[in-house]
Amino acid sequence: MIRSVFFLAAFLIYTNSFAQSFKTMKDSKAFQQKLHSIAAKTTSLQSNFVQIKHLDVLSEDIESNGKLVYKANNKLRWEYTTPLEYLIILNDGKVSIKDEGKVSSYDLSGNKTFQKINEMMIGSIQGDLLVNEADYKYEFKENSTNYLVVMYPKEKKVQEFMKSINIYFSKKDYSVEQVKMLEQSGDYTLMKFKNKKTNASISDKTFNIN
Amino acid sequence: MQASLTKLLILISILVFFVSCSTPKHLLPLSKGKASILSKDNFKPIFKDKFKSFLFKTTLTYGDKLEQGGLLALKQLSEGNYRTIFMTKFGMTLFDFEFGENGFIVHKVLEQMDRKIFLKIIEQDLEMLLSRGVLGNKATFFEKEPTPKKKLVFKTKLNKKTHFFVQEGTHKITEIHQKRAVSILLSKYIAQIPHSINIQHHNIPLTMKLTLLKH
Repeated sequence: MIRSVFFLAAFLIYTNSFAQSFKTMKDSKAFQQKLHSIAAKTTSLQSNFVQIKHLDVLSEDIESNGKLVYKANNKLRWEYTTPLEYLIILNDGKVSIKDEGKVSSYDLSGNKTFQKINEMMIGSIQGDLLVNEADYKYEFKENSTNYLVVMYPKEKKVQEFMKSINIYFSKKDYSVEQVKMLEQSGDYTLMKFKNKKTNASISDKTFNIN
Repeated sequence: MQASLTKLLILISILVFFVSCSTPKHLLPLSKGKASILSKDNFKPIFKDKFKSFLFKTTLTYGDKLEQGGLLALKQLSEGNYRTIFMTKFGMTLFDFEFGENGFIVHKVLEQMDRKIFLKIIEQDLEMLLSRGVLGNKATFFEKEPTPKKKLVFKTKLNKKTHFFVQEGTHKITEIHQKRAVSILLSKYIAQIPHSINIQHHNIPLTMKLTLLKH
């Protein structure tokens, strides 16, 4: 569901074998409607994630692990656990960050960047991300197991940093399995979501920074 | 006789003034130094001449105007050539440049950080940390009394600038100073590699805190 935040970065001229097997989606409108209806019924979401940063110049990818918790309508806990500890919480118009024990809080109304991130995160969960045609051009694809939405940024400044955002949905439950942000250079950031759990009861305390 | 003594005292004062201007204050006073050549026997650079790559958790701060956390990767491309990439925790590349004997190449930089002088400062800081080619240099070394540990201070030229290396025992560099302009503090040594590195500029409010995650 969370298709992201991490949008900001990526690009590519890169198509792996997985991507090559995708064909144009037969009925993209039905797909979007289904996403909206599932998002409307989603009260909470929990997932572990693995973030892989691939840089051609490095021989090994940089892997980070963490977990996320979302609760409708606008609460999000995004936490890195290894190799570093970092926590970001979006809660009712405020963003709080905990880094090395140091806590910073910001009011979203005073910060355009965080506002944009908030819109993207919450918008994506609620299914609005896929209709932002002012900022992105979309391609809808599918193969036997996944739907793939490729978002190409329209703005030149964003294009310099991002070739596309590729979002892979499971055909089984329409949940997001992977988000790949591709850079013009061929480098990319890949987010893989695992152990997803939807609509479990989640305490509001989860979204307290301390 | 009196006149010559006065001249000598003035000369010493001038010398002390110039010496103390370039020497970090907390290292003063320095006892009489001994000439030396930096070698593997008396000095151990922090990083080996050849390495694959280092990954640091990094916080870059410029006064109260900027505080950017992320990951900094430093890779040795070939002998004397390096590439460094700074990215946010979410994976977005903030800058990516190459430096060393083959020159300075910017592969990518976020618009807000696209100031050549800024990237050059980062390059110089990393060069200072790597201390490339320092072995074999002429140096003057000074012994500091145990406070609480015995320290050796090496004064030498690195990239044509005067640097001071503070070494505890025989194999642990705990401080590097480029005169009084830039200091690097190194601590939390594990297997002879410092896991905490704090780069502090004294003429500009720039600091870079590095925590080694992987090497």
